[in-house]
Amino acid sequence: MGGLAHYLEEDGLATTQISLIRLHSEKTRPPRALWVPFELGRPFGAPNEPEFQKRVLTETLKLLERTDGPILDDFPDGPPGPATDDDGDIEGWTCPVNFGDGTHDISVEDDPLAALNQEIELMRSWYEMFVEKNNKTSVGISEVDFETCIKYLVDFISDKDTPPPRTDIPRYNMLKLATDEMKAYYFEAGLARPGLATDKELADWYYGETTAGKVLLKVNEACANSGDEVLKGMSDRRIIPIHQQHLKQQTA
Amino acid sequence: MARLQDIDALMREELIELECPKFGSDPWVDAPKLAESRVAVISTAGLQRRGDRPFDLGAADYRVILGETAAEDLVMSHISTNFDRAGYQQDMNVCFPIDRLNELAEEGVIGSVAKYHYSFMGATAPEDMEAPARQLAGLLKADNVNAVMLIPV
Repeated sequence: MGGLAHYLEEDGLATTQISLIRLHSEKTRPPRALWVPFELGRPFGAPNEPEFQKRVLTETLKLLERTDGPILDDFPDGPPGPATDDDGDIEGWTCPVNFGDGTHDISVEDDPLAALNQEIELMRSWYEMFVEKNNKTSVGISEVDFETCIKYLVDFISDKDTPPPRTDIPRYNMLKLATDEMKAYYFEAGLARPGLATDKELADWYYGETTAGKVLLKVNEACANSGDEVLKGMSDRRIIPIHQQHLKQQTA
Repeated sequence: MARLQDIDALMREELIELECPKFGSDPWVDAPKLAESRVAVISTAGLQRRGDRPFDLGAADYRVILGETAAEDLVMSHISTNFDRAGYQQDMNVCFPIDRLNELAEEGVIGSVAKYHYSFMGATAPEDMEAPARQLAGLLKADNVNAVMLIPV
């Protein structure tokens, strides 16, 4: 981000910016930056908090009126939102779907596609509630229908050369987009329940507790063992995030 | 949360070790008064209009986002899984604050909001973005932009 500021200023445009990693801004020295103590992915703090977002935006824009750069100021307040305990867990948030013993009659080991589709169907009403409430969805980004994405992920586990549903983009990118589709669906279903959850709570559930998470670990393993350098690179952290790496060790 | 000490240890180590480009100078362009500024957003969140080309691994190119793009038509194809998307899924303004900018323009805090905004994918090395960024400078000026709001993810 600091690099862009340098290039644009050199070409005659005044810039101001948000800084999420203060250390990086200290190193790149953009002309005007406001460091914010928010989670990565949330440069304006929190969703659906218009007054807070506007405050962060205004403070960042106000740096344009200063003349004493390079400026790296600190925004003083954390994001608004529900209280968190010491582990960062949001109190009162519960997993949107509980699969007790007996509901999981299809094993992911026996029939991963059927097991996954069963779970997806169980969450459909939550997902639809999210879409109705927010009037938008991140599902559909790949331009391939959701069922085809899910089937591609499962087929990829047993055969990395299974034909990807899109051939106008590289295979690894189709695979990545298919994982994004599934994640978007599950996260939106998870978000439909009352109580806001951050990425960490949702991710612990999604990667650690769902059939989708088990399928993703298998996709990741297939990438790691594919003999294809780009797919191997994907298995490093592009399918399973860094903060869920312990799950890979459990399955190794 | 973006305090380094609050970030997952593996991720923190990478962020600390991440090589940042060194610049030999501190460029500075005087900005107009806020009330006279025309503001454009450049995000590095890998945002794109639905149906536009998804960002590729190592992509240094950008996508154009019209200011009036509806929330349901704006999607994120960033290659990284290592930042929160749940906030964005609920409200695009958490990383692309177009509604807040329009409000500030209506209130007269800023002069106006640009017609065109842009997104890169921040996983790419900044040096690789130099040429497209310099191309963008011309496009921004053609839209009469005189203040650029840079937003990481």
